[in-house]
Amino acid sequence: MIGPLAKTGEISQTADLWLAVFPIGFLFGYFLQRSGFTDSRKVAAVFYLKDVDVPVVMFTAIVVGMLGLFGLSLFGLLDISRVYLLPTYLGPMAAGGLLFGVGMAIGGFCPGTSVASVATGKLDALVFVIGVFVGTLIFGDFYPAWQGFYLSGYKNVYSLNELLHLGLAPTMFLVILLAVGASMGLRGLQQYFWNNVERKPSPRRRALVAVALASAAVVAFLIPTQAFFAIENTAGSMGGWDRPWADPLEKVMVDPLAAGEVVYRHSDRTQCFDLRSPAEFEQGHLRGARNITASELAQKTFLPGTVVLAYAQKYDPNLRSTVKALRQQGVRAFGVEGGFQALKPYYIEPITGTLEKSLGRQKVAALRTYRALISPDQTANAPEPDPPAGQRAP
Amino acid sequence: MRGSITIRSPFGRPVMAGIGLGITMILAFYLAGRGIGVTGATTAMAATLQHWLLPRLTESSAYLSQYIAPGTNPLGGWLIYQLAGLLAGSFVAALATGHLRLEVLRGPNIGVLGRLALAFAGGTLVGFAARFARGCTSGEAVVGGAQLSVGAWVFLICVFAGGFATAWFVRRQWL
Repeated sequence: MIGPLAKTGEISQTADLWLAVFPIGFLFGYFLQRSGFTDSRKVAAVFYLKDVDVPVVMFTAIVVGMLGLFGLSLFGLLDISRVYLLPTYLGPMAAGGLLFGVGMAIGGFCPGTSVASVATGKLDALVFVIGVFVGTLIFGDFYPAWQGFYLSGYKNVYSLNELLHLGLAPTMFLVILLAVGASMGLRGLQQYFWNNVERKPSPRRRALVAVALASAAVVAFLIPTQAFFAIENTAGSMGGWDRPWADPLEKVMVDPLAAGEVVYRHSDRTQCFDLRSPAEFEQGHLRGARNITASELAQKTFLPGTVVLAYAQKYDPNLRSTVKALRQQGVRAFGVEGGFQALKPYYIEPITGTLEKSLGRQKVAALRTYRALISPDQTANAPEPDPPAGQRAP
Repeated sequence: MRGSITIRSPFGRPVMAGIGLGITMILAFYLAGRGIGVTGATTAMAATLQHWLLPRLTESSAYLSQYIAPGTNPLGGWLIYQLAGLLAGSFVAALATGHLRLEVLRGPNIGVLGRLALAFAGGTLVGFAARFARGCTSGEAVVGGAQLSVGAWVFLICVFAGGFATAWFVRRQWL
């Protein structure tokens, strides 16, 4: 079965929630406790290089998770375009990270380890969690004071291979190299400063690591990047597009709100096409849209994994067939139901009270996020916070 | 305490735990199409709690009001369920290894109240900072790190930079 199962409709929403309890949440908590991270002293010890288990566990988890994510995609078992990939907000993440590290050294926990520690009866963890609540509420209640900074530095889904201009597999190899190097280096420093490392690396283990790295290097340069996204090309021909489950992204023709969601979910790989006349295009269009004719669009070829969003002036029966033709070649294409006329009140003009009322608060919040991505620059409102991760299945 | 758990493997306990957490993350990717995380749930809980106590303030907050939008159950999200599982998993592991005990863990040179005060201060900073980073060490650094997200790697590096920079000032708490 091709995952993510909750998004392809293989498992129900209820099942998805119960699987979050077990095995996912359960194993998460189990391994946090077994790694010793429910003890604040052990977590804090990393900052004195007295016990570097924390980064070693983190680096190992990152490497395993990375190999699993891209490996499943490589073998056609996971449609990576439907996995929620974290967006990058450069400045806020750097500043947040620094402050987070300060808090971690003072408090001896991060949120995950503190919650896990509460379950083992540690009262310092309970107080830390109360602090996390208070810090969260300070952020939320004084949000206008830092809203501007919070929303700055938006880089979309921005991955290391784009940053390094490398293929995906070589990038993964570098991450493995970094993880192994950093783990061994930190362990060396622990031994140097504290002389308390119980397990010295045996020659057998060193040889094992060397052989694994060497073979990973060879593999890394053999796999082309497109191979990791092959499934997105074949998904169309497997009849996965038009199945009737509720996900709006499964439709060929989408309403304005779903059009925004398409861009929101796939903003890293969406190309937008305006199929109206150049004169109409000049008077206003979605940000980043390119003005071409329907037949030009039908003849275009796209890189694997590309998402295409196309709109005409109003309802256009030909658009549906153009979009379907694109899907035949494996492009994830969408047409906007009702065309530009329908998009206008959502993304071109300021949001009216009537629209706000008809949508409800949650959808308006989502709409504001989408507007920040696709409204023309001049008319776009100040971007609003991203929809809460807790309730919105991304 | 360290000796109470023995897992025989060519690698040490941290690597085995890391592999376990990595596999947990892969399960989340494959089953739910998302990563694991904690602060998404704590934020929803904090917003709900404040909404009970101070409904007006919470509804007027552009940030927190998203979490308590009418017609949705703020505590019905995937991350909340995952958090319940996390509590159970940690509880079972502690029970099985004899770590289940009501206590305050602290360094040798600090009293209980001092430790609790610093835990509260640290927690407040972490909760505040996690909002700017859109996640914590698990939800942002580890999951984003596995997804090769540039922001996650920046966050990860900065967390350690901030921690190492602070360590000297709080050394009496831990050493």
